[in-house]
Amino acid sequence: MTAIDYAIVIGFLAIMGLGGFFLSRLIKDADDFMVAGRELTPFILCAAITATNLSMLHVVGMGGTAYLNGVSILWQNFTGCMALVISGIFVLPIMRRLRIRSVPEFLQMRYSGPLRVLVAAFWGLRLSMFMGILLYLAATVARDITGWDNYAAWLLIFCVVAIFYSAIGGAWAVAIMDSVLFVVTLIGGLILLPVAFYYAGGMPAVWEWLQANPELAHPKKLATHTEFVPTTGPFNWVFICGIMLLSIKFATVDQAILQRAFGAKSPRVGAKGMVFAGIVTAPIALFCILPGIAMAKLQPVGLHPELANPDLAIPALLKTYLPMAGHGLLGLVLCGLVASQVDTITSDVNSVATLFTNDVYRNLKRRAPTQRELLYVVRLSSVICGALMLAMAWVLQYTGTGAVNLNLAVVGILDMPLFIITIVYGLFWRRANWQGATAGFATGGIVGVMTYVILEPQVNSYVRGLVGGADDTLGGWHEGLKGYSTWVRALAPITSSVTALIVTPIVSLLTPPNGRASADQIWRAYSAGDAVHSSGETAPAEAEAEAAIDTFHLVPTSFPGRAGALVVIGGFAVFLFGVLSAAWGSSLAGELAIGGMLAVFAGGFVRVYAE
Amino acid sequence: MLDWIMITIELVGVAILLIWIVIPIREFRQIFQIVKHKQHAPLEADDDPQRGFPIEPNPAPRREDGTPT
Repeated sequence: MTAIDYAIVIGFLAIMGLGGFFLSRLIKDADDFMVAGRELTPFILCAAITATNLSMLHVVGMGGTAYLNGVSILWQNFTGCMALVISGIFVLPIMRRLRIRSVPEFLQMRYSGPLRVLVAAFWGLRLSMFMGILLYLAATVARDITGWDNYAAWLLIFCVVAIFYSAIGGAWAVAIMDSVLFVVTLIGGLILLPVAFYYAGGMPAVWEWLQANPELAHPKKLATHTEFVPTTGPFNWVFICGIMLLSIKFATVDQAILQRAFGAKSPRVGAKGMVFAGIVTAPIALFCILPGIAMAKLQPVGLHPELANPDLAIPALLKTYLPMAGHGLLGLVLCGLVASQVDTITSDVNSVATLFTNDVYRNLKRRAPTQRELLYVVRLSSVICGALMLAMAWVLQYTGTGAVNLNLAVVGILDMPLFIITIVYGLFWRRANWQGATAGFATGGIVGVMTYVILEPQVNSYVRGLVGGADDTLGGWHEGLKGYSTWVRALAPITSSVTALIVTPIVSLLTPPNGRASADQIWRAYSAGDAVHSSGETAPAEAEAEAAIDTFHLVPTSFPGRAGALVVIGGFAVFLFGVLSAAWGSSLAGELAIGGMLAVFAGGFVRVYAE
Repeated sequence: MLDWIMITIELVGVAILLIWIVIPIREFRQIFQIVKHKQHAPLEADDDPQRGFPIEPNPAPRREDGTPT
């Protein structure tokens, strides 16, 4: 890195800190800190969601995966984009209408208070763990690219800026700075992609080379780099099905994403923001992932065994080719990477602080806290969350990818049952009660863990060692099913969600019906205006104003709205058919899947703009 | 030979970038105007997430024009 590169990055970090300080003047009460006063407009909301969604994990992690395994890793992002559209038009309007600040708050409204506290604590810890991974990745990449080998200093640089501006500026700083950071990230992508393909000889040449030299691009020839929906390999059609499930979960119950959408000015603005975010993130994913494909030709792993760890591929691309292309370009692209990282961390810090303050502290306190108390606790929570994240990142330098894999396993095992009880039964089946939800969540988690114990060789041998004894049933199961061990990450979410899907209704039907009066608010929130209905004379002006702009019906009332919703459903069906057709080696699998995805985007756009 | 796929991707990216510079600036202005005149809860007031947003346990039926019966 040259002096110009350093100056650009330091100047950028200083501007971010100052921006957070300026925006802290907008924080006057707890709603301002947690949901930006519920005044966010569609584009600001879209930028906040997109920026929260994109992190260095996408550029370095997924770009590196594309380098080693091919273009099908794009689906990790594309499925998330489709899920944002689907959630935006079918789920978010109901949640926003309930005027909640967090997903656990919905669980209390629907099921019970203890479930709210339990899930909030679980999510808070999980997000802190995830942020630690992001911080670890950022510090590792920065150390590698700059050559300044001081891990602790890099951790502090990233952490101090992120914690400072999220602790003082809250959701306002997160939302508005995210719009700025999104532009910086995009500029970085706009520079990196052409530079990578210029040195690789252009996109058609890269595609031809990869098809002609699969043994160089991947020594084990596990993946076909240019296939969008492969039949074999670790990122094949089964992976796409599993990641689609996780993406729907991510877009419907992920606190970091939904909290931004809860800040929307109205349910329709929330829906527009989510749909835009899905549509905009799809092309941005190309800027994150395609440089990895160019690198597969520039420095194929078959000739560069030092890049066998795919996380090293993009840093190698950055420090080798960007300085050759021009002075200052590395600094600009690094700003984009730092921006993508910091905006994800700050969003998550804001979410964890909200979960702890709104769902744990507020719920355990006997009387309602004052605004002053809440603002103090939520800011303190942001700082504690930063400390947790820092501790996690510090531990990760010793455990490496082991902790990253553990996080992926926890997400796969526990997040899907949470989605089933919150969205599938929480929103769409009135008979579900807290006993069924708790049983579904617990058994789904247990079956997910068992999937890992049976299929994953290391986990299997570890657990067999713990259990001991002469009866080696676990070993027998593993032997019988070990052919599927590479699919474990895709299969665990499927088994845990299917279990929760079966157990929740059985236990609910065997126990008394849900008698919570607060659940009625949810059913009324399906229609525009009903949930906020208040008798004319006594309604505060704010409620009347919000009811007046709330026009988004879950079931569309106009022809274009209905047509849009139908195109979304039809497009999704085509996408699924395309992905499943890869199982029998269809040559049209990729075209069908991408066509279906584009139809989902087009239908979603019409849906939110109709009526 | 021109790399049309990459040119198309870059153009889409530049279009998003331009939209993102123009529209949010307009939305920032709107937001700052609204926030400037917004009434906030006093710091000593109890927190109520449903503030200004009453939800009736049994709402009265409405006429077609939306007014309460």
